[in-house]
Amino acid sequence: MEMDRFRVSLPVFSSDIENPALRDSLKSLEALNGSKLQILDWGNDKIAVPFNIGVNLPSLGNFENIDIREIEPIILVFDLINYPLSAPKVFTDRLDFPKSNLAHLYIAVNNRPPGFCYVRENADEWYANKRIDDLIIRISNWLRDAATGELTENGEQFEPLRLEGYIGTIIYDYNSLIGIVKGDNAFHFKKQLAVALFERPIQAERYTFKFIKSLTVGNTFSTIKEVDEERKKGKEDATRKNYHYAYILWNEEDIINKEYYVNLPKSWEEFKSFCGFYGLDFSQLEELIATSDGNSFVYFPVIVGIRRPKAIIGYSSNIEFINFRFRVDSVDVKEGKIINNIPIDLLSHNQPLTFQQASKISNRNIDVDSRIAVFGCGALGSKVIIHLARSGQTNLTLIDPDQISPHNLVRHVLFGEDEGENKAIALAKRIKNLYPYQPTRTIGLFALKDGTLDKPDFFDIHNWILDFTASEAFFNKLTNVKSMEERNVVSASISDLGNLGVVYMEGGNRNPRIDDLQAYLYSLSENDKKISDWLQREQLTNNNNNITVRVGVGCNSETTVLSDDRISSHASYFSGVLKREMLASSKDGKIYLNRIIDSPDYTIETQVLSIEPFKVLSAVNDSNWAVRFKDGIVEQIEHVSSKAGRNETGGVLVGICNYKTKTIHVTGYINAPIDSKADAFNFIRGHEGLPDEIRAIQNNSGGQIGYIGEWHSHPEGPNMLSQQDMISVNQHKAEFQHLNPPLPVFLCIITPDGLFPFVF
Amino acid sequence: MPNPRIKYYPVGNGDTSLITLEDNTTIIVDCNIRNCDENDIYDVKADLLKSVQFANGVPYVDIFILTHGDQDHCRGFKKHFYQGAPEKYSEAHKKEGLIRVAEMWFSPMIAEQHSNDDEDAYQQEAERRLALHRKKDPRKDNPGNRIKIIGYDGNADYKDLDHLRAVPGEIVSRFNDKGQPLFSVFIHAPFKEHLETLGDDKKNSTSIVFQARFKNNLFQADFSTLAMFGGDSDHTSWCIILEKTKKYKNEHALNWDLFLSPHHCSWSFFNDRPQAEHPEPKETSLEALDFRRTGARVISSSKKIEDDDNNPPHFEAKREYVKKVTESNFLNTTTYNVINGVPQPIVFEVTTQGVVKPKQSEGTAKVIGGAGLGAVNSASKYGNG
Repeated sequence: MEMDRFRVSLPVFSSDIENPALRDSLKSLEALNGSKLQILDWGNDKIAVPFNIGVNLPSLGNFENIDIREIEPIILVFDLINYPLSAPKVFTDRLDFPKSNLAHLYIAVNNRPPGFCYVRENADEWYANKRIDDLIIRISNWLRDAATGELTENGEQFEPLRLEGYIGTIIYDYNSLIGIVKGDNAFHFKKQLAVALFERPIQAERYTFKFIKSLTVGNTFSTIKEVDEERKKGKEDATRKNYHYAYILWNEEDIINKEYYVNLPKSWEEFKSFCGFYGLDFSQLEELIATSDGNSFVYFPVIVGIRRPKAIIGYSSNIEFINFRFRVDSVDVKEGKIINNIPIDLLSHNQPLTFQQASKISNRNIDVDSRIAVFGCGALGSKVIIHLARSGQTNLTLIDPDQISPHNLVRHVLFGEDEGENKAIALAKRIKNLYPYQPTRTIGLFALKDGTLDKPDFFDIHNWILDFTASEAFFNKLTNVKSMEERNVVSASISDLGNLGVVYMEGGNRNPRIDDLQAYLYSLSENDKKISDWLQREQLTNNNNNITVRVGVGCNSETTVLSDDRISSHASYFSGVLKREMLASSKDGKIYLNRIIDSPDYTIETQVLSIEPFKVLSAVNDSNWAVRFKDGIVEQIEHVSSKAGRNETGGVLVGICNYKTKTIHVTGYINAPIDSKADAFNFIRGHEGLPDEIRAIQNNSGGQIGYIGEWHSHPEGPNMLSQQDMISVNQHKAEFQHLNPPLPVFLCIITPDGLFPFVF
Repeated sequence: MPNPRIKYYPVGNGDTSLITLEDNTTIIVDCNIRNCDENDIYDVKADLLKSVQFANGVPYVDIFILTHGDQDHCRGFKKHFYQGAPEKYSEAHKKEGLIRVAEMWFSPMIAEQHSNDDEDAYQQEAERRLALHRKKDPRKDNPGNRIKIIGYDGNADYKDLDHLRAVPGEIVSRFNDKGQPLFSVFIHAPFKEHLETLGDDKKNSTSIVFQARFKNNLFQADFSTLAMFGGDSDHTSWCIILEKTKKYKNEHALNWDLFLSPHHCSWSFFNDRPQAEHPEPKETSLEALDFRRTGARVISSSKKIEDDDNNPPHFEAKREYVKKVTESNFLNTTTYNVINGVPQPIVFEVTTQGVVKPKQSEGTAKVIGGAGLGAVNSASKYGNG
């Protein structure tokens, strides 16, 4: 009986155990054991403690008759120095333990028995909040699960081998390799052997191989040439690529193996017996390596595919790939054979990222049909874009005329290696690199061709238009684009010395439009102190700038003081807002504010405003002018007019006029001042108190909102301006046209038929 | 999804069993919920509230199966389970922790034979539901109004409600209006002959007897676990069960991994009482036990079994069971697992490999004391005096 135990091969540990935590745990273990423990020497400053563990077995017998017993001997291995930071390792003590039938066993090393893989996460982390008693419970449960066939968490799929001790990493898409095995996208050099090209990045600290392509009938010759070209380059040449040919070997279709081979090969001789175990014909590989290996480096990957009875957990097929690194020098081969016992190491496989996976990990459903046009890939834009891209949204058209300058690196997502590159193009390239094995969907452009925005084609393929340009010119352009209707338009910017982030998100059918939203936000300054304070600060800053004239220096300045974290704060909020809206966009317009407050403590607050559509009218006399009324204004004026009965009444309108977009925004109105006079045919608008009122509005809004025009009623019609009206218009015109900038004369009349605007 | 579980509560001589399926559907078989004034009584009610599901804050079992109306099979029904229209379940009921029975299983012929407050409450609730079904009330199929009639009618006539009925030989796989692909119940009793047989033990012998059948996945050829429940059924019942089941070639319905010994390990399963006068177990009873599968367990939901004249639990009866399943597979709810003097439930988890004890739960390295600690709830005296 004792001879079946691994413990008999271990010497007794005769030194003292000084680690107090270990002594304490051994005491607990002894209490569980009920008798004195044997302390053996495991080597490398580790002790081995044999322990018999009780296991609950199922009533109908063990799963597939696996030989797990009610009492299982195990060996606990403790690190004398690093315990308990380093969790105990646990091994079976039975030499006849059914190791080849079980997942969750580590491969055996140095002729030791296989270890239990008892936690999915890092064992040291797990043990940080566990006691030795809990470990014993866990191992007992592990063995119980093995007996009931529930060790594999997902019974419908196959648990792959547990490997340890990787020398490096190999990155390829599992499905591409399955394609190679199937012959879909590769030439089979031998019956079950194909070749693929991998690149080893020069700077990588660890050994890393990245999949480039498989060799096909069509590309083999050109690939060999390509590899030779790189080989010719000098070692110092920074553009030289380290290409490696990798060999992919698999077994015949009808050889299905469910066993776990817990001694993975470390040398050619062991590899051959490994192949024998899984029914792989290694001679194909040996012959190719020994006769026509194209590798100039001694190290190259060998990937071995084993067919399992069920699909591998997390993958689409039942082929499990095990990744080796061979080291073969010219002296190791002779006459079609590998003559030396060459060393073999293990590589860990990484699946390249796909946007489906990124979307899943980000807990986000991407609408794969939607495409987003992004104008402006500066600090703010690049951060929002990368948030979208990292969550799998790569259907992006990026546009920015600017290139990365050194000072941009303070706030931009791009790094030094992109200096001098166009921001949009460099960003698109980085996004493509996130998903190297998927077709390109991100496009980076220096600029759109002239006139593109005025044609519907561009907007037909883009559902979302994002503006991060911080450009008033572009804002105006976007406002006036006629070629787009049912599109989601968003303009985002940072203001207030970097402390206020603003997102304007248009409503359905572009109403409210971005300029409506802006006018609306400014109009809130009448009652909202925070907004009023901000606009006043903006006014002050602008005035100061006017004194020290700095033409052409905007945010893209080496002197703009704005830290990366501030931009990130706005960008992360904006991207959260966008992702939510992209899932289900709201009908109303929205303004999102992200406010950073510096004192007394650094805090961040957000605010969301929902805005109803504006009422849009064209000037009766000049249809080039559009008048856009904040929701409710027209109704209120009509109400005041009807209350005046048969008498005329009137007042003043407040808002903004924009010559570039030929738009007048009416954000408020003022009733007739008390010194006004009115009868059924005349209305004389007085002015008592009016200047103060206008001044207050103007001051509160930092000069953004002010007097914009007049209104009066014609209780009996007509819908036209009267002669008297025209006299006043001309009087106003005489004054307004000499202003800098001039102000159009804007007059509205309210009749029983409605409101009629006139702009002169 | 978690594996299904079967829990046998320690309730002295009496039965309370809880079946929990993968989807957390719960089926309670009988109840004997005693007051927990004494320290050595396991708090069944508290555990039930932790085990059952809640709908809008209302605790509920999907199915209540009352095998028969003896006090030790329905004690506490009136106090702990909600009776009445489900829509009238109030906040006050919630506070009391009244458990709603979404669907009750009701055997008319059994109902007529018993009388105690709890049984009356069960019957009244059943009649309330049957009346709704009879007059086709639109609320009749709401959870809390659902009912299944098991077996045949006694004096009352429910022929018009035959669509709600399941009789011996039938397999039920729909529970609380939800089809269960991996779980079903084969009904063995009560059968018509029970109406005719008269005897002292009649009410005991007329129990609902059923085989609970578990699978863990749809591809399994055989069942993972077969658990037999039979209330207080006696040897004559089992004789008929065997005969009928074989006659209709339903032998598979006799197999078992878990056998809740009828009538709390009474001799009545093996032969008439007293055992001294009828010392030989009936062949048919022994044969029923031979339908056990590998590793099968007998559960005695009873007081501790001593070598005395008590019946139930009966010492000789235990010996007969042990002969079949070995001592280690004969489990008594009172002695199986006792913590601080309080017997704990016997729990089995259903796996493809049959039943197994649930996993032991791990602790953590960090710990705090709770408000329920004895030390917190009692005075602690210190000092030298």
